[in-house]
Amino acid sequence: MSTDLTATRPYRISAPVVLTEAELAARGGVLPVWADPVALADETEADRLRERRLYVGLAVAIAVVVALWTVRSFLG
Amino acid sequence: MNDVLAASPDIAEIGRGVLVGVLLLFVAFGAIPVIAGLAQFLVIPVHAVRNHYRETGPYLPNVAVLVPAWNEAAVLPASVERLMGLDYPPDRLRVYVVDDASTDDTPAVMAGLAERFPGRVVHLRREKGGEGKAHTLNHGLREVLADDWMEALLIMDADVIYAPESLRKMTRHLADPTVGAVTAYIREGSRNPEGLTRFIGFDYLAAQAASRRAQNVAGAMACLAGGAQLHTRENLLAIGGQIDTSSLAEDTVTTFRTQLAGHRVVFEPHARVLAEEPAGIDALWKQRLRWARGNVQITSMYRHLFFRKSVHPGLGGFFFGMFWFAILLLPLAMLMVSVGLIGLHLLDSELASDVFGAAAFVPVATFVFMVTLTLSMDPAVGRTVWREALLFPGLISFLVLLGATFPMLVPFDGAANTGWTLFVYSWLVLCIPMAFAVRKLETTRWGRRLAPIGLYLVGFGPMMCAITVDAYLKEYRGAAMTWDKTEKTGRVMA
Repeated sequence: MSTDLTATRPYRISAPVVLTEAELAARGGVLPVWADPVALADETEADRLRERRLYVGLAVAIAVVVALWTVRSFLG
Repeated sequence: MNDVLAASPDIAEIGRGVLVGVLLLFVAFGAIPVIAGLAQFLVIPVHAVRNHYRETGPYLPNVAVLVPAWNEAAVLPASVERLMGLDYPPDRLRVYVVDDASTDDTPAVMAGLAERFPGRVVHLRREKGGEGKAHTLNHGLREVLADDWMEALLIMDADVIYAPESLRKMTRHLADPTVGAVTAYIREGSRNPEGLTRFIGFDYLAAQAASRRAQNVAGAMACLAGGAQLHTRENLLAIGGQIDTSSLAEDTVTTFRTQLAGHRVVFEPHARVLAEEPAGIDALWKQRLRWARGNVQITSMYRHLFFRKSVHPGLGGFFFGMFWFAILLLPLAMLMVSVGLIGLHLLDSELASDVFGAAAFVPVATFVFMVTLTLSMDPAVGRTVWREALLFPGLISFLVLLGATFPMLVPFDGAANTGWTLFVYSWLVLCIPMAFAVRKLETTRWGRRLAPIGLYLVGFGPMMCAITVDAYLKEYRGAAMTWDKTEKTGRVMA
């Protein structure tokens, strides 16, 4: 889905998020996802892979229609 | 003279043949929405590979959240608190509540929230209100655009609840400079959905999780959800920095303008937002009538756009046009199928019975395919609403289709039993006035108990068709464009 625009215009970037020691301590020492670019990338990759479940849905939907047809033919 | 008389039986036969052909065309016209629906659902699995994730980035802009509110004092504290709790850098998130001259405790509530979250929650008040959501949003837009701090703007409703990670899942798409706006997956969010809210739950599953994935693939989005639309500053400026106030579907106009300005609109299925929806038929009718009238108005506003790829490759594409008009013309398609079948029955009952029997399995199989695929997209919702999914066309239609699909189980001899046959053939269009009747029934003494039964019998789908018919009638009569606010009670689960 890329377009020509992406080739000529840079991607938007935001300033890096910097957490102070105090802010990190307030969060129990756990770095939030938004403060970790790698975690953000992992989250996106997980969502991208999750989309593959659509194939399962498609397979189930086709199976149900085939089953409907089979039952109809069997009863007919 | 004798020659003409001798030829007349042939002329009558030809006339009859032409009439049968026309009636068969009527029935075939009814296949268009089925084909459009099937095409859309066949495209959905392509979203597994043709999506926008590879063009995203860790982009966390300064986001201003614009919340239009009129007498929302009951829900605002919880809404603002949840927004403050979003899993997003706190210094990059501000909430602007645009108070449309509320007459309840909204000013006091907002003063308390602004004090609690200094610099992060802002109360903007209009002294003259009641002009509708678009005017309220424009008041806020002027204020927010005047401040260079804002890089992205999230427009939402006061009662919706964002999953904590939703906002950053939306902003990642804005890293791509071709994207102007992102929308999220809105789910019906009642704690205990029942009857009508379950139907709405399935409707949202089909219209949001399913249909918008297909629109992502097709590269044209019909509508940014009103309660979840994230825009870049550049996009807002490109569309004039204002929301359209001339129609009842300002969200759709914004979506069209964004795409016509050369920006993409992306649907993010994993950014989940819960919304409270009407619990009564009359309230639902008013809400959906506003949407349907808006769509009729937009069809007229953008009549030079549809089926013209030269104007816009996505919105002017065949796929988008087919999808758009399949919904708008569905009542006409149902009427034509009914007229076609009844006409055929009167001319040749055997042929009508054969056409009905042969044609029934295709829409039934399509319906089953669409329902199964839709339910699989959000199994948690699917487990709650699968009964309403099956009864979407109504119990009566469900039984008719069941009989047509399995004639050996439900004997249906179209040629023999004329009364029953005519009822079956005409129910396709009769269910529309019956939906009007169900709405009226709700206002009667026994309506609260009987209307839900009527809804299950007639079906949610036919009710939406009836609302489309109502929209046409109201637009034809030039009825006033009132913006009926949907009553919210804060029953959305957290």
